[in-house]
Amino acid sequence: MELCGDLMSSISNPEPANSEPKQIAIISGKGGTGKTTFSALIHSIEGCVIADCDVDAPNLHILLNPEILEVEEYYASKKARILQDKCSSCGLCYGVCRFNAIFDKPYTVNDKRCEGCGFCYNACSEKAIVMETVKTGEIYKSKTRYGHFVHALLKAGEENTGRLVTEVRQRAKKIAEDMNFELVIVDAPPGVGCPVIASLTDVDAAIVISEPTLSGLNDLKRVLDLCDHFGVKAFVTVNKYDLNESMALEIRDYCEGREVEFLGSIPFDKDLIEQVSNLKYPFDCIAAEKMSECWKTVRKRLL
Amino acid sequence: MRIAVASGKGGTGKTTVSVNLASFNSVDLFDLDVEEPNDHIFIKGYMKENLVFRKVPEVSDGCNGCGVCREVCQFSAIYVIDRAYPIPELCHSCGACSYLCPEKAIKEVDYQTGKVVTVEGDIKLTYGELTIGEASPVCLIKYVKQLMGKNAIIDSPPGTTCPMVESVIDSDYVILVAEPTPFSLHDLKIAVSVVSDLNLDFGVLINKYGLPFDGVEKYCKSEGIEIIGKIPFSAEIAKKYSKGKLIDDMRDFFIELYGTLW
Repeated sequence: MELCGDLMSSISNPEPANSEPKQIAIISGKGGTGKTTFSALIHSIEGCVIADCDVDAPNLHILLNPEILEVEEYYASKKARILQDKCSSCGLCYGVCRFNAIFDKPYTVNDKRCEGCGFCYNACSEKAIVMETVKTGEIYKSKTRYGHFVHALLKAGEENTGRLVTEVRQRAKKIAEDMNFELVIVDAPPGVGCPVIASLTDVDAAIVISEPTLSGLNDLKRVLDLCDHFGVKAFVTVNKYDLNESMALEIRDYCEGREVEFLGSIPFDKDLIEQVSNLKYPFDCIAAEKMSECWKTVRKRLL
Repeated sequence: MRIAVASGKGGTGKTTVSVNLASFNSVDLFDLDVEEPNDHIFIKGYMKENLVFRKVPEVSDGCNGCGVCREVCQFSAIYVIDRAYPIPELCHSCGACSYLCPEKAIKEVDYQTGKVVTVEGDIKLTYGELTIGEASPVCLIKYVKQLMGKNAIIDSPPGTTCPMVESVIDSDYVILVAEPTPFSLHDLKIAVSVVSDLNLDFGVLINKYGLPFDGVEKYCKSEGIEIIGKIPFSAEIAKKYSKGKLIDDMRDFFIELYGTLW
């Protein structure tokens, strides 16, 4: 075993899984609907492998308070650098760059804008440009009181989030396979772009955490479109439903119309807010019970 | 003055702050959260939309399968089996493959990345909407930004990576919206480091003020970061948001806030 053997094996699952672990993504479209809370709750019930794929604003580790077993530096992006002693100031790099990442006179690279496409490097006739790998973040393999946890932190302002998400998920899946866990939970970022796509690739299902607002419904539609686009089966739940009950019903009806399974509604619960604020985990409150019921429905369908 | 509203963590209230600040001060509003734009729920009016395209490679019969394009592409957006096949969803539209193809067999063609919509209501709203399946929102964000005048409120996407950076980078001031939770505090710190790196002037606005966690205020005080305002935690405000309504009884707050930023 590549990981710190004793520590890891002490919490491996004694029941051998017969097949590949099931991977389930927790998504939302809209931010702040309760993905992380829901993911953490499943982890406390199932003792599974959990992956925090919101790599630019990761929060799960705050709740899970893990013991970090292994830190890996992650190098994904490349940036161009112009060697001033070789540069003939022809300006070709400035002309070809589509990202306005070259300052002119003297020609230098704006790291904040460089996407690492290498166009300038390949085009430069003086061979005056080099591509340098830069550290983009760190990946952590950790242990929690319930199971295993893979998370990462992208360097602020960096790119290549999709690739880092894929790296995190590969490690989580490998741990699940090695340790015979039947379940990998993927806590995804908001939105519908590259890190969300990377979080959804090859999962067995997605649970969408919605909220009873017009914005929540608008974002739900787009994120369900994304699930359809990639052929991912989706389940939907509405969090804090009693903030606007008629909107919660509208979301339920929308799901029915779209033939997406609606798992039920979760009430707004001050106890849960306080428990999250005080990092009192596992949760013990009405909203958590309701979330756990929603999860059990998904569990019945998939495991 | 261009004021960007950003946060790090999602769901802290960027949209609430943006739509109310723009509406009560009659400023043009730009929704650059093109993955999940929501400002249009609050700003109603005459809508006009235009499709937005970016350039992606198209390979002609002149391709001999040499593989130069695959080697130069840093985004794995071209594979070669006897000839080159581009994968437009992964392409960053850098143009290197078509420029460097020895056979001149690659030309660039339009590919729809999304659309830009303008809404002429009580104020003018301009927003982008990314095509589902597109990986990067950055091209579309850049396009929408070109339509921006000197004065604007910019609703930025959550997170702290390239889409957020592109949305705030040309602004004169950034409002970082935080909520009193440990999660929001964690992401606020990352957002502060991003806007500091970009040398942008910024302040923190605390939303849902009254939740039982004082870490955000303590952090701002200890770092000398100005807290430019507080919006109380209130079921009334949450209800208004849920229905797509402005917070009329906070009109004065948003007028005063805008005044202090000038």
